[in-house]
Amino acid sequence: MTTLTPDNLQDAASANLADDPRRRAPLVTGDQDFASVTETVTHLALRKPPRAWYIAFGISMALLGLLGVLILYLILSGVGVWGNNQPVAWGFPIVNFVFWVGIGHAGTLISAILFLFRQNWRTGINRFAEAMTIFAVVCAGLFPGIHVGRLWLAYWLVPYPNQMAMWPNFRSPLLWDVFAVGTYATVSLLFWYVGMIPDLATLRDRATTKIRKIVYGLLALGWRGSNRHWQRFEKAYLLLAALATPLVLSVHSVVSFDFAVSQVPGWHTTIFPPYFVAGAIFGGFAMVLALAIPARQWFGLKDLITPRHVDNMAKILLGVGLMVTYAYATEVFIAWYGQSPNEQFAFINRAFGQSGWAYWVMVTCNCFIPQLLWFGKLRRNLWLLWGVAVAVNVGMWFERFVIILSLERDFVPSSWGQFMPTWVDMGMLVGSFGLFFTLFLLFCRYLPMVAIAEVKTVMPQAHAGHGDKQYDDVETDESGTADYRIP
Amino acid sequence: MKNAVTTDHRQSEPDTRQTGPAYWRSLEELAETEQFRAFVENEFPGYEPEQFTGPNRRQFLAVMGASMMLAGLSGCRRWPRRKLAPYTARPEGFVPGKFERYATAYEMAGVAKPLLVTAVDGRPIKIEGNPDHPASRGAADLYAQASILDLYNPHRLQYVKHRTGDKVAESTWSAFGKWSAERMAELEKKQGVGFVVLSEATSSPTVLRLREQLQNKLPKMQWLTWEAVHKGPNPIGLDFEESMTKLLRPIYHFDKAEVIVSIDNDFLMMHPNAVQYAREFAAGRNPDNGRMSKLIVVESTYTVTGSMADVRYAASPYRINAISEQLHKRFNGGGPCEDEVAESIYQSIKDHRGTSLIVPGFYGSHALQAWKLNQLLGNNGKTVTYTRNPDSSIASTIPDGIDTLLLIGGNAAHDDWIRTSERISGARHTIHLTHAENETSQLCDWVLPRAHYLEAWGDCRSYDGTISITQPLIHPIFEDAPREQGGRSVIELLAGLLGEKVTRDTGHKHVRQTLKPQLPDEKTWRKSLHDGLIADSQFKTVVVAKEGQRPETPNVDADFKWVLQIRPDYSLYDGRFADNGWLQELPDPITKIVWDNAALVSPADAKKLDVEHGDLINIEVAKVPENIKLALPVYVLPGQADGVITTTLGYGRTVAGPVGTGVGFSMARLREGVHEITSISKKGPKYKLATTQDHHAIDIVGMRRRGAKVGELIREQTLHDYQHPHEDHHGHGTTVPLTMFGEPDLGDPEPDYRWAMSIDLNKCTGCNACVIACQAENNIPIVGKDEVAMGREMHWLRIDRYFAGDAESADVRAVHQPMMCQHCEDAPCEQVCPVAATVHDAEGLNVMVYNRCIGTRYCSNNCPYKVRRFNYFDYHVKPHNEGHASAIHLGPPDAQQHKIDPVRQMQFNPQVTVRMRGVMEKCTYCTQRIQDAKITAKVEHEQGKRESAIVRDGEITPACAATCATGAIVFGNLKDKNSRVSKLHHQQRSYDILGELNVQPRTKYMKRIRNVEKMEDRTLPNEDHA
Repeated sequence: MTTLTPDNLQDAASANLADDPRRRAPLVTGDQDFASVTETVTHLALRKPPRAWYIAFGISMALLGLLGVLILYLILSGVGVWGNNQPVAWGFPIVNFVFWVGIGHAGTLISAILFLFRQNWRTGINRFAEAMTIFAVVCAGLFPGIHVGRLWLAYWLVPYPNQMAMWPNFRSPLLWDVFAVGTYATVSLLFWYVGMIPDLATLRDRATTKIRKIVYGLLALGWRGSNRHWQRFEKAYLLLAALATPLVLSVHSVVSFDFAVSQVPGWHTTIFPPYFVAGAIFGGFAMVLALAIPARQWFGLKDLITPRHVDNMAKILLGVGLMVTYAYATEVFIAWYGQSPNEQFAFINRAFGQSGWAYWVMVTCNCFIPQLLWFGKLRRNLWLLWGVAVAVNVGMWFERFVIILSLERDFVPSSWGQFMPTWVDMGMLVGSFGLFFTLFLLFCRYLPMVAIAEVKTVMPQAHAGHGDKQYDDVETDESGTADYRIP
Repeated sequence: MKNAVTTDHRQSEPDTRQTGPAYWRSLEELAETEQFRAFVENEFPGYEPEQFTGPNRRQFLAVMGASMMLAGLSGCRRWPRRKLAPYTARPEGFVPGKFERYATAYEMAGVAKPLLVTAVDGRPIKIEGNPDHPASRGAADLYAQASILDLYNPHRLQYVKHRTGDKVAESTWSAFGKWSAERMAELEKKQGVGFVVLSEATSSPTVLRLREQLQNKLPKMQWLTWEAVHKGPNPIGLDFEESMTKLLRPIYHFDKAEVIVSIDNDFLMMHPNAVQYAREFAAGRNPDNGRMSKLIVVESTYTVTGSMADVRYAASPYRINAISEQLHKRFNGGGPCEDEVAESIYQSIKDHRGTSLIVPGFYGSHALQAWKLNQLLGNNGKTVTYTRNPDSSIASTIPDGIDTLLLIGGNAAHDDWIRTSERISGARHTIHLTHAENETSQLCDWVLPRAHYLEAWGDCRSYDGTISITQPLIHPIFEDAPREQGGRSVIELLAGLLGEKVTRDTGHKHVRQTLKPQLPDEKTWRKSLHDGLIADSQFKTVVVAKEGQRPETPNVDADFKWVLQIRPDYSLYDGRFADNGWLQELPDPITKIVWDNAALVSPADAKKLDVEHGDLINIEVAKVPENIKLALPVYVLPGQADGVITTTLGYGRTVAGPVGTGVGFSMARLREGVHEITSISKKGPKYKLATTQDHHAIDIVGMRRRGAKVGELIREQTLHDYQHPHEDHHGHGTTVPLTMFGEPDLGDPEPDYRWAMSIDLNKCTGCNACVIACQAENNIPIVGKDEVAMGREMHWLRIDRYFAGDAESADVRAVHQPMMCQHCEDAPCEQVCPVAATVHDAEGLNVMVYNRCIGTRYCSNNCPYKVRRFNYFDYHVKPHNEGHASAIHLGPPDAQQHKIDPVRQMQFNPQVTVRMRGVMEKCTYCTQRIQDAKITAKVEHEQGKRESAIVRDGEITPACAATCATGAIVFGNLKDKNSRVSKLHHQQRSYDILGELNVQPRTKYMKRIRNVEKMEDRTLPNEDHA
């Protein structure tokens, strides 16, 4: 296991960061060939994982256990175990829901949109970004389910013919949410899985135990790597990418409708859909960074997730951060310009009222701290970058919290209140991270963390035969993945 | 399967050769192609009837598979199991489930509150006022209404308890009977020496008659009357003597007065006759018919009456005494008063001879001054009349060395300022007749369960003396067949002591016997029983010609810096309601505190003492033989007089069941009234005060906004501005339509009703009676102090109280605004519910479907009035005073309700669903009453008893409106242009709250009118206070 120190991070960073206009920067560094790429990625899945994995997994499982116990407590007693009250009828569960849905954005964005835009650098990070998406959506899906007062009846949200002769209320944004998140989860899962099929075949072929052979074999759907397989695979992947792309924008737009369609001052704003999408991408990218930086170090993926990848993501983070800042500014401007006293008060109260501290945490984390990323030197300091990414995640959680706190003071002053989370609220927030990391660590342990086949396509060896005699000897391994060896 | 459709080719084939195609449908027809022929044969292309009719294996499996799966989903619902037990022989004239109403009366502190009680299937469930009785006219105060909960208190005393030494054993009535017979025989030998009865104040003619009998039997016994609230709303009223022999009781006529001056008298709420007074006061304040009296209030703390005042002065009790004195001098020809308040009062009333009214307070000697002033102004006999006070002697001491002490009701040991507890423990034998065990019964040998007034026969007199018969609606709940257990009434106890054998008929027999002179025959008896009163039985009016003696000298000593004023509590009174959850959780009308009492301090004093909201302070009160130390949390109240700290009685009970024990701070060692404070100091940590409004100290941003917003929510005007509408700044300007869509289609024919409500802020005193009425009617649970502090109170109807004016000065105005679901025509809640659990009905009601609600709480977020309430737990089951974990229920969640105490369940209104946890709820406009009236109208119409099946105006009264003494709440049908609500909605004073949101509320409010010369922009206060 490599020790994570600033020094060796800096060394690695110098490899492919220089911009030479005459040639593209390499997307895979080090002395990597096709076989070593395969070996690097499958190593973790097929061999005993490092000790850090066990420690991390233990902690995650403990937190997941906490979440489980708290959910049981919730079911047995009632949703009053949270701090929710009248007027703040939505509290941490909805904050956590929106937060996790937002995290779930970057994966599909990286996979689908960057794929369609032919951003080849995405190959190093797309797989686990997608995995992160799926797990974030799992966390997100949990909260609305347990949030309702009678959760054993939550299935009434689904339109199905029933003895009550009742449809759900199609005018309600919460119902749109059910559809939007459901669709997004389905498509993301399909996209992730379909993209993983060739790599699952690689794992199947390299698996040593019987159970693994069977499980990976089933998951690989009989992939043999024939030309026809590849052709269809690529077509399907392209189509799914095209299908997933609008969903990236739609999911969080719909989630924002939960707020924008209502008439609570501070919620009822037309800027919410783009604002939410920008915020989601912001938070999602921050989470990818926060996960990628330690993962590449611990799992020896530094050659595949190169400093250039990290740098690119940092730039995107900065860019999206500016969009989010702009959205905050616009919101305040419109509140002033719109001359609605209710809305004006909502924003003054947000910043200077009883819960103003939350607003300033949000602004600091989302607007001020990312400005550090203007500087290349700071961007390349992975410790600092990781810190920024975590800060953005904190800031994005607070953004949703601040939105929820608009409920504290709406139209009738006699009903103003204050929201105070209970220990159960806190425990469930922490526990949701347990759920997320448990799933993520299982993914690291058993599935290919980097898209092996895709990475190979962006290696120079992949372009053998294009006038370069160097790569003439081509062998094909059992999985059909071309295994080029430099003579 | 298209081939399976058989068609007769020969018939459909056009025989062109015979007729020739006159018209052709297409070129193909003309061409008579094969394809066209096939197309014509298949009349509905794409329709395959076999799909629906023909048996087909694949389809059968597909349909069945889907059905099974969906049936599985439907099967997720568990249906609650209920048992039905039909009558084997139904009592004659009894219809199960039918509501029946009986007149009765509740006696509290010696004054009857006439009632009409609703019973269903033999259990009383709801208390309202007796519409035929002048003291009620349909309204009941909150105590009377909440007393139904006392009936079903599971922690009531159920059986006779006998204490010997330290041992307490369960005993029986017959054991007590045997013991008491022996005691009585012994006492009779001594002519009753050493026998003392300490009774609650009572006006019951039967009890008084039995008392006389007892007195005859034991001539040397002592019968003392004990009430904790001594000079407050007690039957004495006017505290001076006429010819040194009889005390007088003043009866005010607020509807006849043009200018009313209240000298620290909270007559709109803390008065035994408050219901009648509130009604008459409101009748005299109608700005629309030109009869608008002016109310001037001088008081030390903010009271309900103070909040209704046109002009209110805050003054310490000593200054109030001085004002009273100075006014007296001024009217006797003295020069201008030193005190500007006194002078301004003088200026206001001097020209209103015979039409003004001075209402004296209960502290100091205002009563005498007031009588004199009213005499000078010629008001006596006009706006105020006097009757003899029936019972004058409230005990001020209890003799030492008692042999046998009989305590009838009350809680003398808790009211311990004259060491009553020592006297009780000092007695050789002690007997206590009580509803529930309290501090007093802890000291007694025999603790006897007392029957609730709805369980026993009795009689009592209202404030004006009218006799009402108290008739039982249910047998004593915990009574067993031989009457060994369960409650007995005072009458039954006294009859038992007089040697009678107590049977179920004893009470009835005695009451009839007592009322024989008034009700000689069965007919008159039945009529009085039905009407709830004996006509013309009120006390005779007496004319007071000569001035009486002053019983005590006014204590005018300006040197006192701080005083502690102790008042009866708006919710708990003297503490007798401490184990009543509804009243504990009822917000104080002014402070909105629940489950606590606090030290009310003026903002200026708070600065001076360097204390804020929730700080605990130590107060030392000067008393002989030793000073009394108290700890109290601070509540900073605008409008409180400087130098006065006010708090209330009734809290800090140590033995008051699971509800009342340990709630608040005890004032037991001090009696009601004014006490000198020797020292005040700040003490340790903060104390959590739970309030239903202004949950915590407010920041500057919020305070400014609240100030601005209150001006939109509460509209006020001076009488002059109102009567001259051209100067009206809030008048109806051009109405800009807020929507481009027309009225929604309500179906054809349009429904007969458009339900709506009107609330008159000019009449609402904030007395809370409606809040309790709503709670009783709609099975609303209590949640406990911690849950209220979190903001989870369940009251469907709340009363918002707003202050206006400069909080630092004493000139602060208060307005009450009852707030419940506004039944918006364009309701924001309905649009956002994902499962359509809150929907609109054709009559305009915003309907809440509990069964369908899954509890997303989105509706509550989107409700601009924040009137929706959510069952965060099963509050009927969860103990109110324990943490969240106490709500854990193992088993199906909808079975949790089975754990509700069976005795408590008896109070539930069977027409209203008892909501389980996870469900949203809110005001329904009492939809059950609407349905009831509609069904009755329809049935009567079909029976030919009425012309139209349409409910007439006034036939439906929601629980809140029914009990409102001032008639501030009016409900009705907008479709009927002549209904009261239609007229009120089109009245000039009517306005929508948050109308700018275009939610189109069906509830409209009516402006508050203040009878003052000038109100500097009173609707837009600069600052408001927490």
